[in-house]
Amino acid sequence: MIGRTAGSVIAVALFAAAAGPIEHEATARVTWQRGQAGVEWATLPIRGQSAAAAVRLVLARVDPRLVTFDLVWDVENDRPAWTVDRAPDAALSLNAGMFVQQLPWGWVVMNGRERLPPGIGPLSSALIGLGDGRLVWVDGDDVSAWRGRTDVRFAFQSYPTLLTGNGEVPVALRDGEINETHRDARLALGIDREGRLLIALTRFDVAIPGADRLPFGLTVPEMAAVMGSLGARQAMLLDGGISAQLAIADSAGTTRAWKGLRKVPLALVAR
Amino acid sequence: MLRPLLLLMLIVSVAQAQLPSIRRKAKEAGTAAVTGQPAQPHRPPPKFDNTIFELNPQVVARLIAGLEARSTARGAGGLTAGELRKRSTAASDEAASLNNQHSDDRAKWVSANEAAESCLNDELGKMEQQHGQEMQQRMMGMTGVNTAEKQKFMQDYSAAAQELQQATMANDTAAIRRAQEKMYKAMGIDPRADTTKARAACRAPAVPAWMRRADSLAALGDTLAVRARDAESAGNAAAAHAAEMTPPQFAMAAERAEGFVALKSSGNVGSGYVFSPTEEQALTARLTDLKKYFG
Repeated sequence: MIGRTAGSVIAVALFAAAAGPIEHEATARVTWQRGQAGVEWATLPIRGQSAAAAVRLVLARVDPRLVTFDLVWDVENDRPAWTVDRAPDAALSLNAGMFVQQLPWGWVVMNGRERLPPGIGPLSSALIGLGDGRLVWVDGDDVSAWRGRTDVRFAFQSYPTLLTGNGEVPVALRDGEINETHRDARLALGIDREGRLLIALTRFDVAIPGADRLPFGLTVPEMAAVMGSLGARQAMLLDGGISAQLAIADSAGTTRAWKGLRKVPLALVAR
Repeated sequence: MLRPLLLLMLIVSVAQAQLPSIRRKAKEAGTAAVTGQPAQPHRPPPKFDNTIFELNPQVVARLIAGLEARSTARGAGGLTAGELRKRSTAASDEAASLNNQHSDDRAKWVSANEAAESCLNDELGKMEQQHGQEMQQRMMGMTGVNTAEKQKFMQDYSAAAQELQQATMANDTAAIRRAQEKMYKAMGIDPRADTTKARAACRAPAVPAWMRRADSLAALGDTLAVRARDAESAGNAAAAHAAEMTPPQFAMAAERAEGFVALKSSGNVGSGYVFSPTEEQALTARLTDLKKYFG
């Protein structure tokens, strides 16, 4: 039997085109289900206009005190090789970071060793995992205070930043510096006010075989809104589109996978 | 400050579902059953704009030219991103293999080295204390008869102390190091000799050859990965140029084409939701070429 925890109300999620008229705000209840220890998950269907006609949000939140995170670098024969199928024993796994071509963009620290130096970009954020299990979120591209520290076990950067500080939308996200109307499959990572890691994946939700993997979804500002509504203090996008993939083991240990179309070089795995 | 909830209120509105209703789907299925032909699906066609080009035969040809330029673009040392990545992976894999073969040896070495480092800190602390006491005695000896030797010491020491103060205020680490060396010299202290003596006393374990090689290979792997990534970035720019597109246009076209190749392998290219009929035709015609880059 799947255990259920108290639902959280989030403002929803019936999205129209960003330029569409404001009709009214709606709310929907997210019913969190228990996964493996420290992991909760939920799905939430939403409907909007255009390519967001039918989208399902797959949500997860993870208590870092109860799981161990590992950053996985997986390249074989000069090709990215990681998919969620490669972490069958994980409580939760997803692609991490953003990719240049085949290599990750930005800062990558694996097992305390810096594999790639930081990337530069004002709309980037970083997630750092410390040796004692705590997670640290860094707004912006200045990670100099954390480079070379022996207590950093893993770290990676991604972009664009969706929320900074205490849930603020970055100015650059509002002033047209990024494409505000492009819709795509999205994967967002954030941290809430209780220190839990939040994950939101969009899936195209129509009754056509394989349609769930199609790269349709929300705009970047809409993803900021989703993460804010879930209680994220800070958040960023991870590589979406055909890269986006997420797997969650439910409380019975059965893995539910939302697969991507592309193998990726970097993944975050919780056990 | 625009809070996310407020943003949500601004951008969100209730919209009518745009997808075919179940009733319409049933009607389409009925039509297909009667005519033997699938009903023309009512769906939102892919939308094209200045970032998302329709992948017609001309655009696909430009995309392939860009992909070819990307795969052959050369980075540091005249190597392509692929060649750099392969070398990086080979170095990292060899380092991992060495470390796996000697995992117990490394654990023992780390433990011995930590003990030696602790001993080293203790020994250097003792030496520092001893130097402090010697300095104190020397300062006390400055009173009384003034000799040329004492005067020179005071001059050198004062000058170095002043230099150190200025360097510290300027936050100039190189100047701080130089001033400290002068002070040590004036005080007759040789930090390098102290360290050598302390290391000998603490019997710091030598780094075994396999570990030196493993660490060197790991560092080489990382350096090559950085170069490979730089080459990838340069390759993306070259690709966009060759494809006569902006980098975002090229990135979008490449991602959509890669998606097409992946969907084609799984037997469903999106039921018309992702690619227009023109695109499906153009991409299918060049599938073999595209698989070279995305297969």
